[in-house]
Amino acid sequence: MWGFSHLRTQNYISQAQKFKLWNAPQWIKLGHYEKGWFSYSSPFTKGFFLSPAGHKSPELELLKTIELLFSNTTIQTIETSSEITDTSYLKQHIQCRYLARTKWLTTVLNIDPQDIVPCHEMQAWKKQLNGKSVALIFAAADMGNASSSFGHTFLKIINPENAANKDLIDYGMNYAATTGDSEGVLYALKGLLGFYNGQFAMLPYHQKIREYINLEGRDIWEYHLNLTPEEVDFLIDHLVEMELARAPYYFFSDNCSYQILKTLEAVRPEINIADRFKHFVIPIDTVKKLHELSSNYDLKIIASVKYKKSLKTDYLQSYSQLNMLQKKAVSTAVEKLSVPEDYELTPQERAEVLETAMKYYSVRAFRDSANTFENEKYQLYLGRSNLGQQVVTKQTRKEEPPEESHDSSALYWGFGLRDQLNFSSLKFRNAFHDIEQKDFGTVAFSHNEMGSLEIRYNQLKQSTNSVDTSQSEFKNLQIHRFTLLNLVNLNPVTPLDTYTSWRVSAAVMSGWKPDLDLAAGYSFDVDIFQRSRIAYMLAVKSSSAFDQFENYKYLNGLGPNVLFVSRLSENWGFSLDLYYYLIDKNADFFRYKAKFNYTLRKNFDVQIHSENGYDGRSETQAQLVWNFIL
Amino acid sequence: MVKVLVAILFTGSFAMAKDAGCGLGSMIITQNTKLMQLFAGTTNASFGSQTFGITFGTSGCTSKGIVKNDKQIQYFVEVNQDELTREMAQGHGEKLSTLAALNGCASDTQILAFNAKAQSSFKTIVPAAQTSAVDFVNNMKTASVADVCHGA
Repeated sequence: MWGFSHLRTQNYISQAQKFKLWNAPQWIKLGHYEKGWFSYSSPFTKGFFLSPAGHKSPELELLKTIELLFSNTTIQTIETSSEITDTSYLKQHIQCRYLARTKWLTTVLNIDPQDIVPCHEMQAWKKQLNGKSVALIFAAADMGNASSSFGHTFLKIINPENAANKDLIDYGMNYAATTGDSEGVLYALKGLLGFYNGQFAMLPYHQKIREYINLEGRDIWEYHLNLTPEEVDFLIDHLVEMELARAPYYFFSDNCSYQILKTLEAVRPEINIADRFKHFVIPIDTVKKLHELSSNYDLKIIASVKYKKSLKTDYLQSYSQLNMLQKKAVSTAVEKLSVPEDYELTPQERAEVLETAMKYYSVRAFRDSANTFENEKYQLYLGRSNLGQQVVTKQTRKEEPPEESHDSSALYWGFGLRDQLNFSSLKFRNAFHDIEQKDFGTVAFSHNEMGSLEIRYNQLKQSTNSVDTSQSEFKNLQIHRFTLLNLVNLNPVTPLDTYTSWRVSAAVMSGWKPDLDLAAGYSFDVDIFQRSRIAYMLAVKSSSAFDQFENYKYLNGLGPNVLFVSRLSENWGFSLDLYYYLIDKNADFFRYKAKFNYTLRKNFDVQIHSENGYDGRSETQAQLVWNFIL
Repeated sequence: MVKVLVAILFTGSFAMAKDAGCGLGSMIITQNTKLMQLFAGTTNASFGSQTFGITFGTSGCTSKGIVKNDKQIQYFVEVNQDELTREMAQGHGEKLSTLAALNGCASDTQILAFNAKAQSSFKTIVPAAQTSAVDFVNNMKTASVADVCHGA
C-alpha cells in the first residue's frame, strides 16, 4: 500500500535542487519546451503544466511536479475544465495522468517504492492498447492536387497481435487543430495566425487513414521506427499526459509534424531535430531528416517502410493497365453500368473492366459527397460479384518514396543578360518544387512556389557619355522579384473526367510593381518524350511595367495562355509558356517564357531560361540550383 | 425519483443505440472542402459531442478511446462500409481481408475462403444499394460468412 510522507517529498525536492534536475534534456523535452535567447518556453499553456508559470519555467514546473506527484492529489484537484465529467478518471491520483514524468523521476531520483501509485486503471488501459512499436505515418501529396504537397504526419501505435491482416485496427495518434465546423477564408487565416488550438487525439488507424486514402487521394507511407518496447511504453505514457494539453496551432510552424517530432524527442532526447525547423515545418522534410539521422548508426531510427496506395492512385493505375478494348469497355460500363456481351473479353478482362469502373465511381463519390452514385456503384457490384473469383493483374508500377524527392528549399545562383546588360543573381526559394524539376516523389506537372526572393546585381555600362535612359530603372543592386506564391496545377482531362487546370501567381517586382496572374482551363497528356502535358487556359493579368518608350504603364489584360511541360528524359525537364494579352488601353503583349532544367544529381540542378518583357527586351539567365532543407 | 427515471430513460436509449450500431455516421467525415485540403488534413474535424480522448470518456462502441472487443466488427464496418462493399463485390482487397481476420480467419487460405464466400453471398449481405451497417453485419451472419473460419 502506498502512502506519502512530507519528509520524503521534501527530500526529493532538495535532491532535484541539488542536481538542478530541471536542466536535464529529458525534462526539457517532456515539457515540449523551446529554447529562446535567455529562457525556455512551451506553447502548451492550457491543460498541461502544474505550476502557473510552468510553461516558461522548467524549474518551477519540476518542483511543483514533485510536490504534487508525491502527495495525495487527484486529477480532480488540478483539472479545471468542466467538460470532463468522467468521475472514475477524475478520482485517480495524478501520477496516473503524469505517467512519463513519474517514470522519469523514478530513474533519476531515489524514489521510495511506497511513493509509487500502482494506477491499475491506467495499466489496464495500456494493456488493452498493447502498443509495442510505433510508425510515423506520412500522408503524401494528393497526386491531383499540388496544394496538398506538404502532406501530414501522425503516429501509429502498433499492437503485435494485429500483425496478421489486422493492422488497420491499430490506433493512430494525431496532433491537429480543432477547428469545429468553420470554413472559408477565415479558416485559413485563423490557421495561419494560431487562433485554433492544437491537441492530441487518438482514433482507430483505419478511420484516420480513411480520410486520407479515400477522401483526399493521398498515398500513405508508414515509417516503422526503431524504438525499444520500453521507449514505446514511455511514448504512450507521455501521450497520456499530453491528452488534455492545448497549444495554439500554426499551419506552417507549430503544426502536426513539429509536435510529433517533439514527442519523439521526449522519448529519445538525442534526436534533437525539431528546433531546427522552428519557422516552417514541412511534414515531408521531417521524414527526410529522420532518414538522415538513420544513416547515422547510433540514431538508426527508421527500421522499415511500408506503402498503402490511395483509392485514386489505385484507380489511375488500374485504368492505365487496361488494353484499348478494355478502356472502351470502361467508358461503356460507366455509362450503361454493365459490360455488354458483344465485347469480346475474357472473364478476367471483364472483371478488370468492372473493377476499374467501380473504382471510378468510388473516387467520384468520395470527391462529391459520400451518398452519390449509390445505385451506379451497386449495379456494377452485382455484375462483378457474379463473375466470381478472378485473378486480376496486379499493378507493378515502381513506388516513388517521397523522402527521395528533392529537398523543398532552394538557393539559385545565376548570371544573365537582359538586352545588353549583364547581371548576376541570387534567389532563395522557401518551398517547394519547380515544374521543370525532376518530379520523383512529388506531384508531376505542378509548380509550387511559396515565398521566394531574387536579388540582382546589375553591371551598369560605364562607357556611354550620355545617360542611358533605357537603363534608368536598374540600380546596381536591387531586389528583382519577391514571389508570395506561384502555384500551377495541371490536372489532365481523361476520357472519363474533365478536370480543370489552374495557375495563380502573386509577386512584387522591383520598384514595388505588383505582378498578379490568374489562369484556368484544361490540360491534356501528350504522348511525346518521356511524358508531356499541354494546358490551354484563359489568363488575366494585373501588373505594371515600362514600355519600350520608357513610359510607365499599368497593364490589366486578358488573353489565351498555352503552357507546355515535358519530361524530355530522366534528368531533363522543359516548359514553354506562351501568353497573348489584350491589354486595356495599351498595345497587346505577346509573352513567352521557356525554361530547361537539368538535374546534375539529387538536390542539384542547372536551369536556363529565357523570356521577354513588355518593353520589348528579352532576358536570358542560367542558374545553378541547390535544394536543401531549411 | 426523477433521477431514477432519467437514468432508466438514459440506459434505455443507450441500449437502443447499441442495437443500432456505433452511430458513427455523423462523425465520419464524408467530404473535405478545398480549403481543408490546402492545409493538408492538419485538422481534427469536429466530432460533435463525442469525446475522442485518449484515456477517458465512453460511448456505445468505445471505452477510453479504445474500441470494445465485441464491437470491433461493427465499428470497422461502419467506418469502411463503402470500401468493404466494393471489395466484397470484387472478392479481394485489404479491408475485406481485415474483415476476414476480425472474423477469426488467420491463414491466407482461410482468408481467401472467406473472401470468396463473401463475394458469392454479395446479394445476401448487400441486398440493396442502401444497406445499413447493422444489416450488413447481421446479413454476414445469416449468410454464414461470419463463421467461415469458425470450427474449420
